[in-house]
Amino acid sequence: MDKKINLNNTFKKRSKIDVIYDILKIIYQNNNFIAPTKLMRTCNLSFQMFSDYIEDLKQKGFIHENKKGKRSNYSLSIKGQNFFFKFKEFQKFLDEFGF
Amino acid sequence: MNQTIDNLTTLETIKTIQEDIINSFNTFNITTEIILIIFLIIFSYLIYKNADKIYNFSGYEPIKYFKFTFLFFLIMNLISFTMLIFQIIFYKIEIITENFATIIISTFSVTIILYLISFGLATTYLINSILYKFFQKKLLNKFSKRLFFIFILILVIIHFIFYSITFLFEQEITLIYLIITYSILIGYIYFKTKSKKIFLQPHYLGLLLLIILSLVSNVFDFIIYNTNYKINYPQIEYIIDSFTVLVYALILSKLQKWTKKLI
Repeated sequence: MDKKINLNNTFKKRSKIDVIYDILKIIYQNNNFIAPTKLMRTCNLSFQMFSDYIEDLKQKGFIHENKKGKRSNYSLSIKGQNFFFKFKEFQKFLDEFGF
Repeated sequence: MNQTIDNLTTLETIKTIQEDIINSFNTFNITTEIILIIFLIIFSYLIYKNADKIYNFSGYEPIKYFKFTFLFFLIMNLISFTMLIFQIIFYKIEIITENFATIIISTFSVTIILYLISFGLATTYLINSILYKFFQKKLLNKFSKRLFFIFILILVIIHFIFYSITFLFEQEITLIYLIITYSILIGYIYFKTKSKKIFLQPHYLGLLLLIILSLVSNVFDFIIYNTNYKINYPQIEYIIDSFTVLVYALILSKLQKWTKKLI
């Protein structure tokens, strides 16, 4: 299942925005519901980097952490979904503005 | 006794400033400056609002820095507008009392301090918005982002202190220093962005033009300070301000286009 997910530029050095897109994409492709360990493994990040990115995404309101007892999982918020669907356009904006 | 001397000095200072303003007051110049500054206020506000919308949509840090740059440009322009209004008040008022002079002097000092703080913060955010792209891998958590911001802020403060000291004592050094600093900044942006073909994109082009305009303005300040050549100074200022308005308009038009597409 994990191998079917094509990460953005898997073999290139990904920019921060590419990693964010990859995380959102993986959550979306897993029916908007994924466990932290699987997400970390699939998006190919170290534990420290994964924690930083997840914290950042939670702060931005892109993902929700749903806790059930000791287990937790992540899902995309409406804001996260909007960003995910318009990401290609947003990347064009970044290229045009040189950000 | 000392209090009376202080009041007298304040009153005399204010009267000297008032005399200067009355002698150089020109309705056409003031009107043109007010119109240009109103444009700058409106454009910087609209750029701030559009950047804010895109930042809320994406949460992407450089856009936040870009947004704050224009917020502080907005504050700077509002302060410049207030200064112009002060000039008109000075021109219109005939009698100045001691108390009024004290109030004016303190308000004026606070205004200048606020202007310098806004300018410093706008510069810091602007540099952050440019440099973030090149250091993003190292700026993952809040601590490193804050540390980077403080580092740039310290550089900007050192720049202002060095600029002020050399301007007061050795203006030749100021001029050389400015040319070197701006050349390094422009050169850095040019070489970092050239390979990615983003050098002439609206954001970079706009920032580059703002930096060049700022340098031109500083060089003219230097020439005027040293030669007392004041006849064409307002006209040069209008040209620089008009170009700044055009740069703001260029950035705004592109930003509005993208805001409509994305949001």
